[in-house]
Amino acid sequence: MITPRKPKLVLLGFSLLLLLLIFFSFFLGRYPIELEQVADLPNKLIASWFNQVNLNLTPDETVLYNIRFPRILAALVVGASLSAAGAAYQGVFQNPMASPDVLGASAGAAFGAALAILWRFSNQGILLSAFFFSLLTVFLVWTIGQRTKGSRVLGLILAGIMISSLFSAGTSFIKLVADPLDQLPAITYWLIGSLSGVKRSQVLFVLPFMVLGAIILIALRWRLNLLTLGDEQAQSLGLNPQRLRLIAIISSTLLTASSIAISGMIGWVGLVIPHLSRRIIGSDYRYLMPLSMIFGGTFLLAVDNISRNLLSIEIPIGILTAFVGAPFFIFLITAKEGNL
Amino acid sequence: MSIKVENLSYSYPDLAVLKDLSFTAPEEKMLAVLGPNGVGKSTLFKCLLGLRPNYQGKISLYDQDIKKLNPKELARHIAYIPQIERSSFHYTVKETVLMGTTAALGFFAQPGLEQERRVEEVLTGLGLNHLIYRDFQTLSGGESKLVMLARALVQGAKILIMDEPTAALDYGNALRVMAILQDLTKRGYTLLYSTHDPNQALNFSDSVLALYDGEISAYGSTEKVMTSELLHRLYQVKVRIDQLEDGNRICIPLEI
Repeated sequence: MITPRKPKLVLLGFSLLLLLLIFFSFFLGRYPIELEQVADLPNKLIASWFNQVNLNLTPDETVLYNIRFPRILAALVVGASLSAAGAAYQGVFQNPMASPDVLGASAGAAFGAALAILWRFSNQGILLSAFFFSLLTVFLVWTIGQRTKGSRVLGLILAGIMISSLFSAGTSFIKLVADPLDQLPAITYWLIGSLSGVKRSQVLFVLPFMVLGAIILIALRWRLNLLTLGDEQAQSLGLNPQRLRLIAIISSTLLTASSIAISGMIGWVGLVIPHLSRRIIGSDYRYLMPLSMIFGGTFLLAVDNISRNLLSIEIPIGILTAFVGAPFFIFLITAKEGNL
Repeated sequence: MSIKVENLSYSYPDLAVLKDLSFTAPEEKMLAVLGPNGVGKSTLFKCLLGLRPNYQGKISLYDQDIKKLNPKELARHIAYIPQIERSSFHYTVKETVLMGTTAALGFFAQPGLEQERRVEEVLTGLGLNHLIYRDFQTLSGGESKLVMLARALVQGAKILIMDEPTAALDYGNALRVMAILQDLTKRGYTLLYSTHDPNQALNFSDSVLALYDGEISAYGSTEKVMTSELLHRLYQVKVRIDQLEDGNRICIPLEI
């Protein structure tokens, strides 16, 4: 539970594991790919980028580059983003049980996407709408939380629950009026959460937002430690806790909303991974934040590989993460150690 | 003057806690704050630390109005040694003390080798070096109090504020902590602490600030101020203060 003597070695070990997994993920799937068949792909890509030559891909290379690569990238960035956001929320709320769902970011994004599907927006439109409503919910929760009496942290969490249920009701209403032949299945499938059919353009669209959020959280990760002490101690140690909390919440919401915009509702990652990371590398955000990102990417990529390959039909990844996450949550709240 | 308080008043929405306090804390001395439960000792400390900004009156540290200082500047003048609370977040002793260096770091900076060396130096000075990789949450009361003190020393502030430094400590640890604090005044530190034990004030403090009903009931050197009348006024109990042969004074309860 506390930082091991050589935390950097742990980070290095997890990074190597992730690289190995990424490599093997390219060759997992229903369409078998031989290593020799795609050995030339990197050269072709470099040539097309630098010399503006048209890409002329073999079928194997097409599968690898146009289907598996975007999907692997999506699993990595979504896993890393949700975990980083969860880790940050846990520090900001001084509550190791907090997660991206606490601030209503998920419920808001779900409502936005459902609305966009109802109004037959394009893919980019769905992204932007999910993003907008996610930020809007967090803003509402933040504002209401500030006005509650008593504990600010508790007020914020209660506001999150209320606003979430409001937006969930909105989503239910949209499902009620949606066209049951095409819109309703699309909304339902999106709410389950899946990485199938993720396009490279979608990933590239949200990537800058994710990178921005991640860079800010990485840069501020030492100061997140002080927030876990409570506002009074943090301030007496020379920090402006309100300002730091606001920056951390905005960055985490950026990460959550961008993830949900391309993958739908993938639950539990933002709670379980930061928690496991804390058990491995301790609470110090200097190591916890990077490990949460690496571990989150590894976890979601591994689960997505299972979701693609386990059965003849694909199991949406949101279902699998819930199957892993819910029992883990029960274990956490009943575990003898009682370190919560 | 390290701390100068002029006409300080503070009210919660439905309750006036501090009423028109004025005092100055002399440098490199120990000042004990006495008073019954709920009299506003903690509120006074929080005002001094800038944690309750909407007070009336004026508080200056080294002739600077604290309202004009941001948390970072304030943290370089004044450090807080809080009561120990349980937390869900587990840090090593080293990480806990490192947090004291934050005020001197840039916004995006992290503590590095220089800060770690400083932490080790301070921990060694307090005889805590063997605890450096322990989980702070698993330390004994005395150990965690000293680690909090180490964190305040690393912060570099010369004024230390302590809320009941010996609460929940056994007799030996309480004496050891007080001796360390007294030693700090010889190294240029000014200490303000609250206590419920008159003997602690008699043994260790240079001066005493007694609060009653939100006002200053007595303020001055320990010798002059600490009388059985004052203790009766503060706590409504009868005590006797005796002078021993060696000049030390001791407080003895008369009837319970």
